[in-house]
Amino acid sequence: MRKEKKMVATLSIIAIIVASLGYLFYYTQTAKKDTLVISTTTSLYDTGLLDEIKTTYEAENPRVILAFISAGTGIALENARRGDADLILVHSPSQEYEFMQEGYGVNRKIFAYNFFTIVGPSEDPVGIYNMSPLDALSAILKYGRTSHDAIWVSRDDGSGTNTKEKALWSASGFNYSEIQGEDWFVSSGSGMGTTLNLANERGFYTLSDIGTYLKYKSDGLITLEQMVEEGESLLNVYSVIAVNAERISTVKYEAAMDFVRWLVGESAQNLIANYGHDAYNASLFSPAVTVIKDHSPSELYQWIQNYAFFESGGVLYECPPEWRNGDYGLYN
Amino acid sequence: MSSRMEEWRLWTIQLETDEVAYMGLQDEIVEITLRALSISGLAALLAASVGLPIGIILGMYRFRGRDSVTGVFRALMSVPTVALGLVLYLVFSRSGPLGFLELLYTPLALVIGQSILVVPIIVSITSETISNVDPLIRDLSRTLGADERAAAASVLRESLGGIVLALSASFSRAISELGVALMLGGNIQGLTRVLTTAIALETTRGEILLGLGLTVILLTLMIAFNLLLNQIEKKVKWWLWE
Amino acid sequence: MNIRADHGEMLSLIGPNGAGKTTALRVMAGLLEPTSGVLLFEDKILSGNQLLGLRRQATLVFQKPLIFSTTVSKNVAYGLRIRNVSGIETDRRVKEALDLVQLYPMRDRFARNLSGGEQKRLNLAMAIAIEPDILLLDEPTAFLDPDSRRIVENVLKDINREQGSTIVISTHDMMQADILTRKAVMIKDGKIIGSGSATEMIRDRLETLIFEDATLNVFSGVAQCMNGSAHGSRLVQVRINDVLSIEAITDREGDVTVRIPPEDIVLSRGSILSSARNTLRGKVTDVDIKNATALITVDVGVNLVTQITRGSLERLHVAIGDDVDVTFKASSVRVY
Repeated sequence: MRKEKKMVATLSIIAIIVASLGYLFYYTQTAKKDTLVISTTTSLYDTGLLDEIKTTYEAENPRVILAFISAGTGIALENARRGDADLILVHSPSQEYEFMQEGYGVNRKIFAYNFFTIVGPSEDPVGIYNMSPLDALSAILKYGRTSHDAIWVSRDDGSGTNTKEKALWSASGFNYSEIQGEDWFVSSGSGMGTTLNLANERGFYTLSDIGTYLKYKSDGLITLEQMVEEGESLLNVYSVIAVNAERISTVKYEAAMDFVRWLVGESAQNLIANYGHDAYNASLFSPAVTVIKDHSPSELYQWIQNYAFFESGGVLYECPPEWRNGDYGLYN
Repeated sequence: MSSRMEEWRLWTIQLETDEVAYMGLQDEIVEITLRALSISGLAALLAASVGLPIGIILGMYRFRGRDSVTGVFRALMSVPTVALGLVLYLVFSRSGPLGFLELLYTPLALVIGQSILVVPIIVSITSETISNVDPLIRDLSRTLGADERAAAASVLRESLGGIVLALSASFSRAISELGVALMLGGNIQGLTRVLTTAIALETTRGEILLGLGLTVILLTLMIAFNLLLNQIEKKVKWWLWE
Repeated sequence: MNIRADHGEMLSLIGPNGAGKTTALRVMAGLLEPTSGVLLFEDKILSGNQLLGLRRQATLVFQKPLIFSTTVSKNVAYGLRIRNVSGIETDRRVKEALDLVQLYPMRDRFARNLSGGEQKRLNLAMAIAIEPDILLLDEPTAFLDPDSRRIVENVLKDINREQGSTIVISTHDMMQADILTRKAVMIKDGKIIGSGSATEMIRDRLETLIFEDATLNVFSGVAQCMNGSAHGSRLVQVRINDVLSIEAITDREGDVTVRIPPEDIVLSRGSILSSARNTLRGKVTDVDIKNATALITVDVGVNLVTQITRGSLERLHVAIGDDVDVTFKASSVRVY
């Protein structure tokens, strides 16, 4: 029995040591630091831009930890509604509007934009190269309906990219939920990377965000080509929204607003403009703050306004006044 | 001549930056690995402190409802990790019943979640091994002069292999599961990113080779861990009988 | 049912399987409380926690080999460890017990890797190492190979003689009870149906036993004294038929029944030099292999069955029709 007792004692001591070491490790990492939970979408997170933002911001603000939680747009917003996030970074204006209308979000700022792209096999069986996006979709649908070959793959996962796709189909005059069941239309039900791989293997066309596409293309994982030019209908706008402290009392509102101000500031905007330049010889993102502030280039400003601004009392706002909280010099 | 020098200088700078990026990556992989080890190790220890007593009681004593209890624990072994992750997410979320603890997206939440995941494994394997020990072993100890406690200790000693298996299986399951780590930890860089979430992330990011490398690390760790555990089991066994 | 074992006595519980022998032994070992009736030890009624005290003095060797998953010597040391016996004393007793059952060379082997017979001998060593006042054995030689069986029987006789331990064995084999013990209790369906001297009980039931074919090598004959002394056990010649006489030790004369235990008969090709008084020559008429043992029937005027191990059988290359010698001691012959 003495042996058994000794053994139990030894094991408990080991357990206590391991536990306290683990706690110490955790404590030194997080002590006296504010963890800012930022809910974001996978397509944005997977580009790696947010890692760069995290590194830079934490170096400038040693007392803050940026904790990015990446999930689909739907779950990202749900996270914030449940009070588990302090900020959201998303790219789905209609869902953002809903979120803010429910009173969960305040102080929305558009901080970056880029363009979605329609990609397809380089042989281009439908012949959509250089068409306008809407014409291209019509051509693909027509081809599919006559040939009965699978030709288009959709993520069909409620993501921001998928939301954009639905909007594009309806702008071309088709109902997404109707064409969804047709034999030329494939649902992957998974993320952008998997969907791109699928399109690449099977020679499908698909809608992709530019970041994931360029990453996969430059790594030689896919041979798909960009088929259509950048156009208003392919615009992709990224916004940051702070979770409303009046609605959810536990959020770290001031820390969140500090980050928002930093994100729309000059150094962060430069970081966004340059991100990915070395690796892909192309920018993954363009900074949006000066475009909105200066209304220039005006065509682009018009596009952003049409696509991502919210209407209030007959006027279009980046963030309507009633959804602003506190003066942080964000809107002028 | 000067242009060549210039080229050379640029080339060395390029090399150095590559080196820095490489070192950063290496540090991060080490950090992720250590974190995964300590989180899952703690989870297994926590689960053992709860699961071993339950498993021992279920294995040693016959009582009414025992079969239903073991049945439930067996069924719980096959809970999908995402399902458990989802339930615990709702529990630990700020608007959930335990939201006030502010545990969601912390390593502690991961420890708790993984230990809940593996408790059924520890309970099931432990109780099964103990009840498979010949019941006459207890009588053998008693007839050789042991009191009831020493006789129970003999049964435990005979079950040592199964108990070690329970611990190793639970640690292996904890370190290799993805669902709970993703839902409760959120895969936050520098805080809750562990090997499995890193593999999932790097794969969706298209960093297939990095994902594969992390997989190799995970597998190597598991093999090394189990070999080590075998050695420890032998030592403990020897020590128990010395 | 009332069973009484006196100090230093060797007692057999005889009965068919399921008669309640094992239960009786478990009660006597303090492993089981009697459902009705009482357990008396040194004139005190024992129950509940007092049973531990009995268990420190009595030990039971189970019918099925049962060992801890460790080495042979650590198995033997278990009972001594429980009693906090000092290290040196433990080593001494472990060696002694293992020597007795002839397992000392295997002391560092993993006990689970021993053969069935060796495991059973190990169980015996575990019991005798603690030098119990009462040694209880459940079917100690059932399913044992002849070598292990002989070792076990000798060890039991030795420790009864040298340590004065009380020994109670259970067996379904009356003949074995006769070999080992003087006193026997017959049990059937949980009731005692007879008790007394084992030899006399066999004598009473001899005809039924022979009729039921329950025993081998039983012959009737006429015993005749070989030398002068008229009282007590002495060497006699038993004439079985016209061609066959054997020598035995008994106190009886005239018409007797003799039994020669098959496991006590040594089989050889050609005569061997030994102190055994009976050496007979005959032809092998039957070879019957059962697991690790073989029953060889030899016609020496009557059909005599000998039991040898498979190993010996293969070494001797015995086949039907071969001429062989059988040898057994006069003291091995049971006379009824």
